[in-house]
Amino acid sequence: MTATQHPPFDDETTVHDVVIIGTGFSGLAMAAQLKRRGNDSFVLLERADDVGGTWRDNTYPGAACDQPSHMYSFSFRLNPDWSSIFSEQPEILAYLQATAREEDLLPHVRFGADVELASWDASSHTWSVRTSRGTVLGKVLVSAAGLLSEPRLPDISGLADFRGDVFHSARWDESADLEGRRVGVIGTGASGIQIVPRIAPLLDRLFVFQRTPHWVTPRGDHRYSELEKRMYRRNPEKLQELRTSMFWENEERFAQRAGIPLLLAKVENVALALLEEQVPDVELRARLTPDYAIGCKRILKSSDYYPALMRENVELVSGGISHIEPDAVVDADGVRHEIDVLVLATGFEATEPPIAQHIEARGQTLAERWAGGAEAYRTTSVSGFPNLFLIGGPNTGIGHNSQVYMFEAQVEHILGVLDLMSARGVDAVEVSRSAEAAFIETMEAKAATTVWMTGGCQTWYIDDRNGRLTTLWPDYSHTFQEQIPVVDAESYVSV
Amino acid sequence: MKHELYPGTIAGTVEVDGAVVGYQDAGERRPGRPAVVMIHGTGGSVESHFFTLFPMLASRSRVVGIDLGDAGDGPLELDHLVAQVLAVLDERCPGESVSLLGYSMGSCVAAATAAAHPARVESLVLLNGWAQTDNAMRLRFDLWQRLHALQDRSHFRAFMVMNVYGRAFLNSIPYIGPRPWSQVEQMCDDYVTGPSAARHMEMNARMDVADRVVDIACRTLVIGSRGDQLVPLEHSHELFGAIAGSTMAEVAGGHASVTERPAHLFHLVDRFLREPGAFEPGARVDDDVVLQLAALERKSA
Repeated sequence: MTATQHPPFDDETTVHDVVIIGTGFSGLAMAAQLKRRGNDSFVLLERADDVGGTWRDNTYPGAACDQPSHMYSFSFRLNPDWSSIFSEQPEILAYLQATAREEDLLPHVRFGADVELASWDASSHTWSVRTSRGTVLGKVLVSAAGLLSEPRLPDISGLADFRGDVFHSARWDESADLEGRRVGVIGTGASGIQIVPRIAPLLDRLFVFQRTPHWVTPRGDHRYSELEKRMYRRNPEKLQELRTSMFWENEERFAQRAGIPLLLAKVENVALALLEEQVPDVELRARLTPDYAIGCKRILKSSDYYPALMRENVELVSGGISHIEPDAVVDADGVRHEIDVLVLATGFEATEPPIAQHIEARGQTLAERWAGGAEAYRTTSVSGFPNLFLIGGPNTGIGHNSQVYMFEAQVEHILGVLDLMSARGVDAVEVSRSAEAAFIETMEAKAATTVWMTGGCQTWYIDDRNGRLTTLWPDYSHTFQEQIPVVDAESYVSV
Repeated sequence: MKHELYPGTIAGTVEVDGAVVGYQDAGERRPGRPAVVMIHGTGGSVESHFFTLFPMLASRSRVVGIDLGDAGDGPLELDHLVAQVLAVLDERCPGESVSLLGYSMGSCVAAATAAAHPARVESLVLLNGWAQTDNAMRLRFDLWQRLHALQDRSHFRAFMVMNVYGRAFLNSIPYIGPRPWSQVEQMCDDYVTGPSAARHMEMNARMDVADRVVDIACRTLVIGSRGDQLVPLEHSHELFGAIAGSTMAEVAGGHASVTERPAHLFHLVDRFLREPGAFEPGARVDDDVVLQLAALERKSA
């Protein structure tokens, strides 16, 4: 994702209505909605050379969304041409590129512009956003920098001394030749279990380093037939019906995480049946069986991960890693696994979004404001930070449904505040501390009975600084759409 | 391990004219929210019909599920079942006005109860219900009875799976992917009905509460399934027309809405109880919660 050199901005004086950081699903949704409302006064800042966010960065073999594509897409841009239920990364990226092009957003994107510091100027009521290419000014700042965009690297001694190729799954090295080599994959989360089955057949040896087993449920795919696609093209109502059905099927899965043992048992049985069917080896099966409540961590979906582990050339190493040597990973039992290429499928920074260090108002950064844990009013605005809105910030992560759904509700909230500002004839508003506190209280009440708080989970969903569930929305996603777009006029004070 | 339907469920029975009527009482009483009393359909039970909906609703309010009983003397009449509902209300919710939710045949029981006892029912949810058995339904119900009477139940089970589930549910396993044919065969093999199913169906074949539903005075949510082959959607439209204070919602799928679309039902019922003002008599419930920005664009256009 190294950006080519872009020339410095030639205009640093125009004050745009809205500056958007990021061109993934969330940034493009915000921009498309502004454009569709006839507002042309916005820019999108993108540190890379293309749009697409997560779907531009995660090019690893097998990268795919485990939400159905007809749901994991914009409500206002249904796509009759999705090739299968779970599309792979190139198709999702192409969808986002088409969105940027067809919604006429590309002229608004400043590529190669990495945000260094966005600061609020209280006297002029503008956000001044300094980037690697210069500064842009905006009345309103929307951070759409992503929930899971910053790779998290494991803290394993000796990693820096490894002599072979080593890269994070979200920074896949296309030039690394895997054919016939010995590869180690560290991490068996959402990325790891997609990579393993795809690369295993190419390799001499594959070592899969698992810290904690995940619960895995089957993922049956289906390629849409030309018959179906033609129907969806001619009759978009049928496409919406399909999407609506997928939405409510997803929603049923929240009940399993809401601390209802009967429903947890039901999904646990589905996962255990898959394990039993696909892993006849009792010893291996035991090492793949989680010892925590299902739903604690993201429930993974795969029908080809376990079979890949059963291959002759694949070994699951589950006892933990002691250290890394220049040509090997040494496990906790002292066994050396000689490796040519090391893939770090170790996930992303989530409880502490890195963009928070680069946003500042009234002498404090958002990261400092969030020293006790990330929080926001209706997940979208933060007291002390006028005219700042976050998409994909605290309490917006969703495990059982489409993340894009969450982003759309937040975009609707932001559009509502922009309307409120126009109606009042003011150029700056800020959410009140009391409205923010009241909202956060409702969030904690919701979270209290969920599996994440009661299931004995160790998960990135919970911020270990305050023990609060700060990344996930702890409820059905339909209640997010009911609650998040609401803009109570009294909650926003003019500044 | 056998789990209760919802943590802390209190189960018990009451006797009505020789019939043993079961109840399951769960969830927390919340101020401003009535208890939801749920009545299952033909040959069902709280567990078989409300496996998912009961715990979903119990996480938001107090829920009492009724397992209808049967004394088995002479033909079953709707008023026997109404008496059973009242007996459970007396036992578990004395002096309270509840929200009554009936599914399929249970909707006829719920409607008849609300019509005759307005003081006990503050609101009503009629799920895949009907007011009057017509020829098209009677054909199915008669065939149901003939197949059920056969020694070899395999025809009956296939008939039920075909009529109860919608096309999408038969073609795919929600959230997982395409449903292989072997699983459809398994569904047929596994299909069971409760002991009173035949007596329920005999009553269904002559069901007529058309004169009663027009008397329903409480606010009502009528929910029908677009692909319901057993009780076609038109019957929900008739109920919607007949009940002055009713709002109508449609869900996708077949008759087994409680299995096929429980989250959608939960959303509708939860909101109906939480936000009465959002359900105007005579109005249809829209899909804005799914349509999102597309709906917003449509409105501002």
